[in-house]
Amino acid sequence: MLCVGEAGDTVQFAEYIQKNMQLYKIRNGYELSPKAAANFTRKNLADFLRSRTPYMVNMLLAGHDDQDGPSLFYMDYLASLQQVPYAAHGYGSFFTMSVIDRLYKPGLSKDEAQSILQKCLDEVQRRFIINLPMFQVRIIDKDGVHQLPNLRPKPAV
Amino acid sequence: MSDRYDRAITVFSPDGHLFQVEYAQEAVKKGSTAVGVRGQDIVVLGVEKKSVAKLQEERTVRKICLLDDHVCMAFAGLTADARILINRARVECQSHKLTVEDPVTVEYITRHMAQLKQRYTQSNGRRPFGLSTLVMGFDYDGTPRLYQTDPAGTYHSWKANAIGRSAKSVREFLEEHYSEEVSASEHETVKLAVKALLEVVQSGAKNIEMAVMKRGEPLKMFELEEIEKFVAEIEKEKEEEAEKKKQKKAGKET
Repeated sequence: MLCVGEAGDTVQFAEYIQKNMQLYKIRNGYELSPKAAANFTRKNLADFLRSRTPYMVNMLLAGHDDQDGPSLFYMDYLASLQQVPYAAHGYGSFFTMSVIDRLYKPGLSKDEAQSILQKCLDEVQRRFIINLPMFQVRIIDKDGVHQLPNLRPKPAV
Repeated sequence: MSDRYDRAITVFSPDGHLFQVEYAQEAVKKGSTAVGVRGQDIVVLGVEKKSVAKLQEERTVRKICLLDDHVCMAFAGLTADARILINRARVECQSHKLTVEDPVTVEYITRHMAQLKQRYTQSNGRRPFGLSTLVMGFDYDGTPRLYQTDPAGTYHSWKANAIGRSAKSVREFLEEHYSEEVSASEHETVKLAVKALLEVVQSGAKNIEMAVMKRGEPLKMFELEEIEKFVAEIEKEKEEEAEKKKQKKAGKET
């Protein structure tokens, strides 16, 4: 789960969802599927939206299921949810989405996906006014979540 | 005279008893037996499985429940009450992790359940929980723990204990056979729990459910074959004991 937005809200909301998912696992003996988890998260976000304490968070939820394979969900602070093949949040998304639009095709391999990611970061470094020198990368597959080495975008000429 | 004091649990009787709590303890004594043994590196829970009716699905009615990855419990008494208590405990385990970032200690979650039970002995219009529980697990620092709670809301730490039907005789058996060297060996600890349960469960392995937890590992429920292996080992030991006694007697007589 990738959670960006208001400073404290991100951590609070993300940990709340995380612990509720663990509770589900203890209660029922099996984990929530990615789709179920995404919808649960969306419902919580929607309920909080019209309360006195809305959470200002944008999220990308990624998971792997034995039945549906890998899935990615885009969620924003107004609690809209959509399963997508690729997504981005923030000002950088204006630049990166067009890069992926051009390069994405279904059935990419792990290395192809990583090279697209690198190209996105290079684009952000070239076009975006703020210098973002280092990115944390995680990959989710059938064996779980793995941390990849940090990515540095190519310095803009 | 005493039936005026039976009704409201929040009222003491003239001789200082809370009768509803004591009646709840009677309900516990009717429940199927549960045994817990704490070793040095392993904790074991065993329960007597009540045989299911012919038309009933043998979907195992789990009397051993996981509260969190490192804590589990068995209970004796009213199953429906247990469901409520287990649910509250499970939520509390996660809630604790959310606020404190650390997994619960076994003592904490036992205390939480005990406090909940006590609250129900002092509230208007509510009856006590009719169950005793055996909570076992490993703390964050690796210490194994076994706790028992009862309907009154008290809790104590035990090296080995039994609750439910014939708990007294099983506890006496455990007192006789528990020792430091038993607790040092994982195999012996499990065998002690099986032996203790076999005292009350006449029909053998198919009416026993066992679960063990080792330090750093998730809860492991035993399959029927594994329990049968232990039962066979215990039977063999009993036969060897009987043989030795016979030979000694024969030797003395000649």
